[in-house]
Amino acid sequence: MTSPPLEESARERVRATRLALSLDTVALLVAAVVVVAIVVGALPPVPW
Amino acid sequence: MSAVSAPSTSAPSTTRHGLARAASVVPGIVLLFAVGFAGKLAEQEMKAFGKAHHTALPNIEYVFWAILFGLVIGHAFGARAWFRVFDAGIATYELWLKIGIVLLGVRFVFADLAKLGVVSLALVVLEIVGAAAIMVAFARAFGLGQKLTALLAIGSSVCGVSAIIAAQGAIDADEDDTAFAIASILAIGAIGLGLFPLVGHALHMSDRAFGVWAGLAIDNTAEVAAAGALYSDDAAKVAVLVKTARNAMIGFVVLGAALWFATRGGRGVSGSKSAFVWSKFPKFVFGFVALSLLASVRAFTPAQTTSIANVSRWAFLLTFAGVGLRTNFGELKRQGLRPFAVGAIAEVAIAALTLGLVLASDRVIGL
Repeated sequence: MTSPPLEESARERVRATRLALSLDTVALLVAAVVVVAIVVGALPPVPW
Repeated sequence: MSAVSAPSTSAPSTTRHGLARAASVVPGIVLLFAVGFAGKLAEQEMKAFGKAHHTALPNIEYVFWAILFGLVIGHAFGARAWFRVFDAGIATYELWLKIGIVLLGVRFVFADLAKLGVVSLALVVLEIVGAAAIMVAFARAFGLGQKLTALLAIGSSVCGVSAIIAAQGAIDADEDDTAFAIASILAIGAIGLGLFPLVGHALHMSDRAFGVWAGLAIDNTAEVAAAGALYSDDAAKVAVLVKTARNAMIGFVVLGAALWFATRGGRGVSGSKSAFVWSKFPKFVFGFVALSLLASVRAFTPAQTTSIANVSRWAFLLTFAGVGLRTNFGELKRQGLRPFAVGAIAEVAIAALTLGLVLASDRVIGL
């Protein structure tokens, strides 16, 4: 059974997933920086 | 002399390259923010309009608008050459998703997290076994190859595209099979995102029960978060937790598949198995659990907790905009009916199985 080639939007979703997988620890670090910045008052209260 | 001068000439070049790469993501991130923020404004404006005109308008969540605006922009301009300037930044949306999940931990009391986590893990194990069995049965019926079957089973039972990518190298699957499995999982995810909240409302499911169901049955984490948020804020919280428990199993499932194919090929899996599982484990889960623990011991003031939870919401907003911008129904159609058909039939069965599991668990132990 022949598989179809990936279309562009699906290819870009794969790219986004690969990027996120490679930056797993970066996500952790960014979140840690945000938390520390909020706790020490370096970031103003964040509204929603 | 040249050996000494070489680093001094290459260092600025490396810095420039790094700066250029960092700058290349800015337009796309600005677009993600603009689309997400427009969705938030649309929700607020609709509420204000209904209030001002004493009209009962349906409460349409910002997540719906963000995805809709993303879809419209993506379909209208996504194929244009000038739109490529946004690609690098749009590709960061899964990173925002992970940051959002870590920060979401602050909204879980640890005891609740532990209870829901244990129930989720038990359901996840049942879901993985059931989903894999269903996908294998349908794939055999459609005459798919063994590796493609394995990729589809892993994608539908664990965590969508990232699981397929992780499994591709481990079982030595070829690019065509991987493309087929990814196309199938993406097509189903886009449709499930819209259908699940409708079914949940029709069955009058509680926020928790719906969250558990979405977390168990939808394959990609971004779509899980979006479907949950379309239902309610609490449903989104629970859906992401259950999906995170599912994602945590990725190493075991991929290792199982790798061992199976290696044994059939008369080989073994080289290296330590625990190191293999660790390499596939999503590390950001530790941040999620740590924040829940810190919040439970009141390490944060209420104002700090609110701010951290709000940053999580903003991060999810960028993710939802990315889902809209990166879903193209025209391309899904051109991808062919077969990936969709094989995946869709199996996923309907998986959705029914997980729905039964959730409703039974809710009745027996209360979710």
